[in-house]
Amino acid sequence: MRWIGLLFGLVVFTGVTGGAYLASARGWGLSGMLDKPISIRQQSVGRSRHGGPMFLYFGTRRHYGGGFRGGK
Amino acid sequence: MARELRCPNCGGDHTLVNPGISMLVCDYCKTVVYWDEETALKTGQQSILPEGDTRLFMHATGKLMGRGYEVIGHLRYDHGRGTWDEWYLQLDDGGVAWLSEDGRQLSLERFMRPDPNLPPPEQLQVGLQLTMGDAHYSVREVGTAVCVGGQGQLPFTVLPGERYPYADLASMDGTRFATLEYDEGRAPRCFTGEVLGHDQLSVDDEPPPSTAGAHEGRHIKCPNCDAPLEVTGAREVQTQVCEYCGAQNDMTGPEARVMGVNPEGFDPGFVFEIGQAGTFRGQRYEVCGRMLYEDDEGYQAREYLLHNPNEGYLWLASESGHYLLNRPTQQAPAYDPFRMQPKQRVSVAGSTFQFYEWGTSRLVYVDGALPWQAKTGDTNHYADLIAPPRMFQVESDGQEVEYFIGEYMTPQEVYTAFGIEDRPPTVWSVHPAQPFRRGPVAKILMLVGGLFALANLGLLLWSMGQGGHELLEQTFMASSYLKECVSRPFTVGPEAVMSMRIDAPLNNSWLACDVALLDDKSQSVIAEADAEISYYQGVEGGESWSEGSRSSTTYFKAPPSGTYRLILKASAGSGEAGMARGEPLTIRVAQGAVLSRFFLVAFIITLLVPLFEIVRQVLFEKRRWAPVTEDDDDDGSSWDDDSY
Repeated sequence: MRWIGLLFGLVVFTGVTGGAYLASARGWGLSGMLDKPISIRQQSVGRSRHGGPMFLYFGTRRHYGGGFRGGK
Repeated sequence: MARELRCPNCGGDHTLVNPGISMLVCDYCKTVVYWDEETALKTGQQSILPEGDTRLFMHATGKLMGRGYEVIGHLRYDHGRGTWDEWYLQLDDGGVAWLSEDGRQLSLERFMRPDPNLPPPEQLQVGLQLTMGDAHYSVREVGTAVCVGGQGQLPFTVLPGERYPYADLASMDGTRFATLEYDEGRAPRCFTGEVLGHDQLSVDDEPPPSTAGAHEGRHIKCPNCDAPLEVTGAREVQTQVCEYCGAQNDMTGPEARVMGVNPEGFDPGFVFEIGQAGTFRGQRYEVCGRMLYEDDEGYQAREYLLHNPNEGYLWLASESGHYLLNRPTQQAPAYDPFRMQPKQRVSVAGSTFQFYEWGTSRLVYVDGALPWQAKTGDTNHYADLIAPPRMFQVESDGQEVEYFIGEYMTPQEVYTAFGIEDRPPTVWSVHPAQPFRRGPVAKILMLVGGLFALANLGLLLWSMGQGGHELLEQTFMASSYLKECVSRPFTVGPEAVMSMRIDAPLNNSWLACDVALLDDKSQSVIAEADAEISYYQGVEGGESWSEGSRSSTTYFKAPPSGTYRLILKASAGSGEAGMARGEPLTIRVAQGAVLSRFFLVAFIITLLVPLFEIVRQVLFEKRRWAPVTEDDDDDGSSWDDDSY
């Protein structure tokens, strides 16, 4: 019984610890890319006061907190 | 030169073994013959000594601690609850020795010069501590001894029927003994002794057959019901309970005498039968007596007296289905256990025990044959000390204190010892001396789980320092980030985890920013993030306070390798609805960080088994102590009675 317990413990706990290491290094569960890239050329519609194109990504895109904000 | 002496009563010739002899019991007519300093012979009554359960016997020879001996004299005393024997030995080298035999315990005794400061007999009480010579003793027994009779030749005169107060003492570790004997009008005689192992005394021959039990072979009838008493042979029996009427018969005299009777129609609930044999400590024991006790609160305890002809007695105590195998010991606790509080620690012969409880128990039922006098209604005070799986028990009836050391046995172990194949009833309660047992699988899982928990804790701490390598650090002024701005380009590598940290020297202000990750090559935003920081501080009621943080870190999955920029737009404010103060905002982007959260989860998972086992043990200990720590009736106060 002792050996069965040892084997069971080693398998389970090694799996848990190994899984934790993989997940930590690979960033499992982290927010990633947007479903579809957004071209800033389409988004940038303004003009600067100097006459050139004005960058207005957030000014034209309404988003609702769908990005990443997770901790470690 | 050996001196010859003729018995004045029958003319029988005797050769005195040594010049110190001043009394003999005639070998032929059993008359006590003694003489004084003027060598005038006197005769006393006959001394007919009943046979007893002793290892030694008259004229026995053998080796005492390597020295040859012959038993030349024998005295037996009765202390009211039993007898003990004193053996006078002539040694081969011309010396003499006294051996005391009580039950199966032998002790070698030496005369000690009496201490004039010893208390008078009326001041002696059980538990009193005395220092004699270089040893510290406690009084274990007080009483009045009666000389039952003697045999052979003795160096002083003791006539049958003589009575004298005495006290038996033992050192705290139980290795040394002392006896105080108070002769009328004289200073007490003091003997000190040491326990003698049975291997230190050899006897050349087997005792003659007549030294078997006093009543063996005699036809004795129960005085209560006239039924024949089945007298057990080969051991001393002082109480024989009639199996027909339950009369508790005193067997110390020539005839049986009724001391008490078991309650009629009462079922004592014993599990094992008289005569049932079992194997304990590798030896075969037989149940020779059974007792049912009830304490102050009505709790019942059953005791089985087990006997082995060579090993003596063991007590198998049963309470609520639990078992404790007890044997007597001479070792005493360092403090009076009747004055202790639950869980208080005390040393007994080098081991530490914890006081559990004390109380009074009453004998409710008894059967079988016992080597002491017992009757229903007998009470004694007890105190229990525990060091699972051991229990140290103190029992006192006021005249004598006895100590027992017991070891917990599971019901299954007891059933196996008796060869019973049935499974014992399941016991759910916790016995005071019951050890907390952990199965082999639980033990190994606890060990492995604990090791892995430590490993995960180490990984958790290690991961907290793994922030990765920095890709970008850039500070933006409010004039930029309050509108919208773009960072310098940075190159993202293959590592999976990226982090973005924002810092601003906020003071009673806040800042919220939206960030987008811009692929420099395709000029497309492929990820977005937002972060908020706020920091407030002040003084209130003379105490300073602060809340919030001036930095925040966000983790996200790294995009494919390439060059990227951040698009940043923030809003800020101060106070409750104040304007932005324009603190500079620093952004740091790093790659290759190791997340900590999974190691925390793994730490918790691997810790579950050890934690479960620890909680189980704590709950077990709580149940062990519950009867004495949660009992309102037991306030832990000690008895008013000074003696125990």
